[in-house]
Amino acid sequence: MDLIPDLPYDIALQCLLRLSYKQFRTVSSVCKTWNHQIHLPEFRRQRKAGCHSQKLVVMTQAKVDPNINSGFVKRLASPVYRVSVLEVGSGRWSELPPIPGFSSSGLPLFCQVAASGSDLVVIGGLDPVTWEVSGSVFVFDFLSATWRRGADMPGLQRSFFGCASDGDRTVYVAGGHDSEKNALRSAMAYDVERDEWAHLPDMTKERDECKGVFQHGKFHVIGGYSTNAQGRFERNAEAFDVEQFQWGRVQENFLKSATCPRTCAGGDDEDLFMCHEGVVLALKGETWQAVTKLPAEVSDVAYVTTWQGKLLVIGCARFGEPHIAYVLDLKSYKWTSMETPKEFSGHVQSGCYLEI
Amino acid sequence: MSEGIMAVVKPEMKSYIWIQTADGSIQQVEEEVAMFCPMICREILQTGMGSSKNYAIPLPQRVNPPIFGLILDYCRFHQVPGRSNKVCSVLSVSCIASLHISGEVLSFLFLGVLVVGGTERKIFDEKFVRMDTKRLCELISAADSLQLKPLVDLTSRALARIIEGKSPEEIRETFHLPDDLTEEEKLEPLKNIADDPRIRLLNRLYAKKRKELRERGKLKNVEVEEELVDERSVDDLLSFINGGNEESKEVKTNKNKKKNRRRKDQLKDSSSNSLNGNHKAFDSLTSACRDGELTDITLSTPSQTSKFQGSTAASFSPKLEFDDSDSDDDLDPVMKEELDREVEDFARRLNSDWPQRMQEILSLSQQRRLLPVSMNGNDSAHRCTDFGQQIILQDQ
Repeated sequence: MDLIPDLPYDIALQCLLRLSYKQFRTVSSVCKTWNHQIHLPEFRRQRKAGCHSQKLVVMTQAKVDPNINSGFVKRLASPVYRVSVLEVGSGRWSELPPIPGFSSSGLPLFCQVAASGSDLVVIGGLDPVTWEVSGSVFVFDFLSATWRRGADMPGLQRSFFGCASDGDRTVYVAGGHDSEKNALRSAMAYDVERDEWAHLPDMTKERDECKGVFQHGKFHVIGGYSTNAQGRFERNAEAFDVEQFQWGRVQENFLKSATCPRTCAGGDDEDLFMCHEGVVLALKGETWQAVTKLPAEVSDVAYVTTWQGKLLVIGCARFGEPHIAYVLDLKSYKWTSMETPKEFSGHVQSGCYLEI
Repeated sequence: MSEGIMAVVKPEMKSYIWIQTADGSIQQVEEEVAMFCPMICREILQTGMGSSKNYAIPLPQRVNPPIFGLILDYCRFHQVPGRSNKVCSVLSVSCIASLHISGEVLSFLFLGVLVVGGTERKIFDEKFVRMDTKRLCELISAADSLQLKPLVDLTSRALARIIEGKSPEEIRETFHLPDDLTEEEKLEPLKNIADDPRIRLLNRLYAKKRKELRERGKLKNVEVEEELVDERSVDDLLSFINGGNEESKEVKTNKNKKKNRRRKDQLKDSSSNSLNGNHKAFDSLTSACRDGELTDITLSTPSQTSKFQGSTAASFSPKLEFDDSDSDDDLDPVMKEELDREVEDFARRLNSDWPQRMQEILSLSQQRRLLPVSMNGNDSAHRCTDFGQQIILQDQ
C-alpha cells in the first residue's frame, strides 16, 4: 500500500518521519495508511534513530496570567495547573489541551506524570475543586492529541507517592500516605496499554513523600518518611527489580543528607542527580559528588529532569518569583538558560521527559 | 622569495561524462558534477561506461530530463569544496506564504529576514526546494534513484514542511490520497494557542508596536488620520449620518455587541472557516478604501478597529493579547487608536495586490541595501514556513 502515490514507500516514509509531533493528529486524520503508519512502534523508533524526533519535557505547571505586569506572581488560593511542554531542541513552549471537563479547574493538585511510549499518564492528586484525594488516571495520546480516562488506582486513597515509568508501557507507583496520613509501604504497577493495575510486593519501609526513579530495569524509591516520624526525611532507598519481581535490600545512607528527595532525577543514560544547597550532585557509585553550582536564579528548585547528556532545572530565585529553566550540559558542565515566556513561568509540580 | 609568480594558466581540460536520460537523449555532464551522484560514480568505476557517446550511462527511469537538470544544478553547487565553511551574514528578503485559505488563494505575509551566520549551502538549499509539490515529489524520487542522500534529506524535509501547513483534506488533495477514514476517526484540528508561527508572529508584532507606542508617548500623525479607512457598510454609514449622535452611539454599541458575538461564533468554527472569515474582513477593508473617506471617521475608529481585532482574534488566538477588554486597560485610548491604525494599515497591506506589494518591498529593500531575492512565485503555490529572528516593520 502506497503511503504517497507515485512515490516509493521508503521515500514517502522519509517525509513522514520528518514531521513535527504536532502534526500527528492531522496525519492520523488523512487516510488509513497514514494513520496506520504513525501508530507503528517502529515509526517512533525510526524517528529517534534518524534524529527527527522532538525531545520534550512535559510538566504540570501553574497557570500565570500574562497580563500581570509586576514580577511578583500572584499567589492564588488554589493555583490552576495545566500541562506545559518544553521542546528542548528549539526552546519552544506550548501547552496541551486541557482534560475535558477540567479546563477551568485544571489538573489534580500534586498529581504525578510519567511518559510511557507516546502516551503521557497523569496519576492521582487532589481534586482541584474539592481537595479530595483522587486516584484518577488520565492518559494523553500524543499520536492523536486526545485525552482518555484510564482505570483508577485501586485500593486505598493514596497521595504524595513516588512514581516513575519504564518508558515503555508500565508506570510504577509506591509509598505516599492514606487518608489518615499513614505512610504507605505498598506499591503498584499500571500497564498503560492494557489499562490495568497490578499490585506489587510491599516495600520494606514506609515512605511518605518519596521519589520514584526508573533506572536500569529497576524502580528506585528514594527517601521519604514513616508515619511516626512525620517530615523527618530518611536517607535510605530501595529498588524494585522488575525481572525478579522483588525489592532489593534497603540501601542505608543512600542520600547524602536527610532531605526531601524531590529534586532527584535520573535515567538509563544518566547517573542519578540531585540538587541540594545550591549545588548539583551526581551519584557516582556509592558517593555523591558535587558537579557544579546552581545558577542563583534557580536556587529554589521546583523540578529536575535528565536526558541524553543534559540536565534541566526549573526553579526561581526566591519564593514568589517567576520560574525559569536552565539546562546543564553534562559534558562541559556549562549552564544555558532557556527563554521562559511569562505564560510558562509558573511553578512546576511534576514532569517527565518524552521523546516523540 | 618572490611571491609574484602568477598562477600558471592551464588550458581548461575539463573531463565530461556521457549520460543518457530516460527519454533517450544523450548529454555531456562535467565529470566532477556527475561524480557527485553515487549511482553515476559507481557506474563509471565499476563498468567504465560514460566515457563516450556510444557508452553513455543510462539513468534510472525516475530521472526525467528537466529533473535531471535540477539535480545537476544541485550537484554543481555542492560539489565545490569549502563552501560550507563560509559563514556570512546575509540580509535577505524572503517571501513567506503564511495564510492558506481554502482553494488555492494565498495571501503573502511579507517579512524581512535577517539571517545571521547562515551558510551559503543552507541558503542555496532553501531556495532550491521552492517548487510545487508535484515537482518536489519527482525530485525526491529521482534523487533517491541516484542515491543522492543529502538531496533526498533536503527534499523530504521540504515535503514534510508542506504537509505541516495543511489540513487533512488539503493533504489528501495534494497527494491524491483516498478519503477512507470514518467520521469518528477523523479528528478536528486543535486550536493550539501559542503554537502557530503566524499567531506568534502577530503577537510579537502587536506587542512590539504597543511597546513602541508606549515609549513614544502621544503621537498624532495627521497624515495617518487622513488615510483612515472606514469599513462600515454603506447602510451603516447612512444610518450614522441620518441618525445623529444618540443613534450613532446606539449603532456603535449594537455593532460592538454583534461583533463580540460574531467573534465568539467565529471562535467555534474550524480554523479554515475562520481564516475564510479573516479573508472576508480584509476584503471589506479594501472595499471600504474604495468607498472613500468620511470626515467623521475619528469617532468611529475604536469600533472599526475592534472589528478588525475581532476578526483576527477569531482566526488566531482568542486568549492572548488580542482580547481588548483585558489587555488594553493601561493604554491611553489615543495610543490605542494609534496602535489600531497601525495594525489596520498592516492588514491592508497584507491584502493588497501581490506584484504591487513586491515592487514596494523590493524598492524599500534597495533603500536599506538589502539583497533582493529572486522569487519563484509566478503560478506555483508553494510554502516556506521558516521564520527569521527579526521582523523588520515597514514604517511608512
